[in-house]
Amino acid sequence: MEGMGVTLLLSLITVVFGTILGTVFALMRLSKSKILNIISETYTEIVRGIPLLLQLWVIYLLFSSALGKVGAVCLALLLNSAAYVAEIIRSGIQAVDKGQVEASRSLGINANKTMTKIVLPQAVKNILPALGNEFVTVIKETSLSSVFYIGDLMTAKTIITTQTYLAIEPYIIIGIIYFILTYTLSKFIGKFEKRLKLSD
Amino acid sequence: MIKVKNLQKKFGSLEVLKGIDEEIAKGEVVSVIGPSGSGKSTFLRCLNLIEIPTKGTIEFDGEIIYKKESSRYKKAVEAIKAKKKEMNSQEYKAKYKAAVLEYKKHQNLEKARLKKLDKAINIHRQKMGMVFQHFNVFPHLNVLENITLAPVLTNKMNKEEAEIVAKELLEKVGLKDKIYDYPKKLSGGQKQRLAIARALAMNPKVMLFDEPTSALDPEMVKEVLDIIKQVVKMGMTVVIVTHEMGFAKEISDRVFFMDDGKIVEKGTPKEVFENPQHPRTKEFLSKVL
Repeated sequence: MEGMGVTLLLSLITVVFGTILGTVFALMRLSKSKILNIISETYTEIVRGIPLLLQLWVIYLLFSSALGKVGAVCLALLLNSAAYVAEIIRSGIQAVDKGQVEASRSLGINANKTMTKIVLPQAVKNILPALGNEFVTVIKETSLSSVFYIGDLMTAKTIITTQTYLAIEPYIIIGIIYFILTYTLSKFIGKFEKRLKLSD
Repeated sequence: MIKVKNLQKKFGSLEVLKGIDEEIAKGEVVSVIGPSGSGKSTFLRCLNLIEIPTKGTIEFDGEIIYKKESSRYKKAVEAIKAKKKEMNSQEYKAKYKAAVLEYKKHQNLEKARLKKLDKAINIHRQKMGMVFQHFNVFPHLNVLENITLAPVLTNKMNKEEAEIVAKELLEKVGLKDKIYDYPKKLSGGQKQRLAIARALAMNPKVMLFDEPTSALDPEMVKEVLDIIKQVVKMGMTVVIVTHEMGFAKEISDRVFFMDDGKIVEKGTPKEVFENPQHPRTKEFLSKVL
């Protein structure tokens, strides 16, 4: 049970800060400044091109003394998630028909208001399903942090195994808990999407 | 009302507009016809600066809203390049560097100027309504909000005023019973009529129509054309890019025939349709009529 708390905490921190950071990277990618474009693009490409476990190790070794075990793992997870979120938001915004921007600008609405009143409301519908998937992925990826024995669900499983000598049963129970978490989340997001669709 | 001088537009190395000089008077209805790829739409889109011209001047209502002449700084760089053989390498390098520096400085000034222009462009666009081939109605807003959005966001009217205007316009375009529907539920013709009402809500001085019926099912073309006729009757200055030759003939004061980035023939509908002079016009009309 304690394991679930840690897993949820890890996921929550990753999701919240990953989304914030991801939004920043997405805006950098879409901005007119070439330097910001390159920074954001390089970051997402590197993070997406390297295994998460490796990133976890590197960040853990660099920061675990400063931030503590859990802090370092959190940092690694959210830095990783931010890259994916950035791509999701960028593609969601770019998927909005160019004609929408043209129509808005042709009415004399300035660029900022066009973004907030025309593009973003439509982009949310593109972004949300993919973002939901990313959240589910994050919950599952926190299991990698058991490598560092920080008390998440998978760590809890290892502890149980060593105490009870049961091999497969703990896996099944932990699996069910993971599934309940992710299934609840995806149902919740599904409902939210439906409500957005109503206004279509 | 609208005056363009030496209007040019390039997309990369593709020259779409090769220098257009034209004047459109107040209250005039002008149709632009021609084969696809001839630059008709680009010409129209340059008028309200949705497409920024590569070169040329655009005047609207006696005000220069866009002006860009060929840069003499760039010419200077090229002139030095051309004389490369006459100079020794050190002299060339120094001169070349100086010219490029000057050119870049000028470009930055130009950029700053364009940024300032942005605000002016917004005001200019408010006076020029535009209707698109693919309607581009806002899918996340209902019919009423589609119309009131721009007048409210640009501080032209408050919400109550905008709604009164919107309702009047919806009556005119025959969409009054759809007022709280979302565009998803509208047919193509209804969407286009909504788009026309949306543009009219800003009380523009000019209306630009970019192939307004090309994406419509045949049975819906008429309802949209009828609304455009109403707009013409209001005395609005209208520029319309269209493939509806009969319609162009009926409503226009003048017709431009464009081919290969230029206006190759212009005149009254009678002159252009019944007695075309240019061989390209003859060829085009023989194919479409």
